Amino acid sequence: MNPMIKMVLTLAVISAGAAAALSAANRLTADKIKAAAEAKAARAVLKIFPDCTAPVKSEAKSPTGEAVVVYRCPQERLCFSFSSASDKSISRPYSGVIRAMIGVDGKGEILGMRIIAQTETPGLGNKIVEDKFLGQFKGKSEKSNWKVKKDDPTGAIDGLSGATISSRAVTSLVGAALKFYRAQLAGNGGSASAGPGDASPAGCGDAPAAAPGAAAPAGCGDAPAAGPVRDNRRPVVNPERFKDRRAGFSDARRILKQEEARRRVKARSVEAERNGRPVKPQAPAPEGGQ
Amino acid sequence: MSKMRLFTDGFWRENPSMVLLLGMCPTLAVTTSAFNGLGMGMATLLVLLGSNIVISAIAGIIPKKVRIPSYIVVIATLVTMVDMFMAAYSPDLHSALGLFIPLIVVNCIILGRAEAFASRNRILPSILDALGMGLGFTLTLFVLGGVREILGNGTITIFEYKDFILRFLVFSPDAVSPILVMILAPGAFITLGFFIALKNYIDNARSA
Repeated sequence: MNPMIKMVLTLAVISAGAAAALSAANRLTADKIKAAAEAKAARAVLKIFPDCTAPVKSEAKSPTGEAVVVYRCPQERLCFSFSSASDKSISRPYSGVIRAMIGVDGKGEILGMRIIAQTETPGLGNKIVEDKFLGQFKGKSEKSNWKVKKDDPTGAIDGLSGATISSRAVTSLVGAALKFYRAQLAGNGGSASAGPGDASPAGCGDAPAAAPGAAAPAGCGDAPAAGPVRDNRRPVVNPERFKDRRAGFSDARRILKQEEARRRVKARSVEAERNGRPVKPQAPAPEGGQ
Repeated sequence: MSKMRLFTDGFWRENPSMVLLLGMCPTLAVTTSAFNGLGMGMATLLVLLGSNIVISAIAGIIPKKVRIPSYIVVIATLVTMVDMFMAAYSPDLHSALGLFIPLIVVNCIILGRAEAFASRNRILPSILDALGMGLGFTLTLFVLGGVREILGNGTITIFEYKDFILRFLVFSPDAVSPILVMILAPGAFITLGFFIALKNYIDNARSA
């Protein structure tokens, strides 16, 4: 047989065998994997509220359209899952997606939380699952300053040493989750998402929905209009800018030249300024570079 | 070569981490605690065993020029299957090891043994080679992880499954500040360097 054909045939046969084995394995395991993930979420709910043995399950949509599973328990308490992909404002984890199960009471105060999925670095970032770190979130509400102390000394959360990115991700995730809770879950009995026309913000603090029809969100502090949280930020990349022409190599060289010239002019003016001052003249060596 | 020698080579004389210097990516990335090292080692051992068996069985019919892609397809398939079955039947173990499993595909120990050993030997020697190499790798990763964890965190975690955690406090982080860099990637290079130096020292002292 032609060696070329033999090579192709061998690879094709091996790949086909691999595909068959994988699809068989997938068929055998897919349902079980899904069930295991659901069981894990349900177990997290039970860990947060040990007496909540029969929660009422429902689903809501996060600002990015991700499914948020809500478990309602007695006494207005509820648990809901929120992930780092649920809201664009959440600071990105070190790797993958972090998913948390957050338990709150009727006033939006955290009663407990657990991390149900994460792929942070073992030994460093994955310490976010430990109670020592998660315990800090207990008793806090949306009003807390959802920053890690390293970024903002008044921040609510002490980050993990060596894992600031992971700590920051969890902290901003909880902040966004509580905002989502106020806007979508608080107060209303089961079906999520208050319609866009519904002016009265669902659940201002612990006040039940005030006088229907009165449009003004009275006494809601600085709370912005309730209802679905919208992402008003501009897209990071503006495609229009790249529409008419693309910079080629020659342009790149020209742009670099321009920048270099500009930098030289700036450096000269900085130097002149420095020499102008009554300090002893220094060598124009760059100091840290400004 | 005696059968016993095939098995014991992986532990010392041809240790994958300290002599062959294969599979550095998982060695350095994952050994932040003794248990993580153990987990990675065991998962690698499992895949290595599977791939050595399959490859020594099919090596005869694969044309030389396409052998590497064929081996990679076999290894990636095995890794994915291990991942799926672990997620389905032992979700707790999977959540502890889940992160390491995709890393196994890029572990060159497996491709290295497939190319250097399994493709040229029968099934039984290949199994012995996989067991020796896999256990040697596991042992090295376990000790490496243990040393790094003690220095960098003050603890040593032997076992971690569901709520059962076997972890010893070597020194209290409040009394002695741990060396954080030992948990980070540079700590892995430093520790492995000392390991290799120690091994060479022992070998030299023995032969002298």
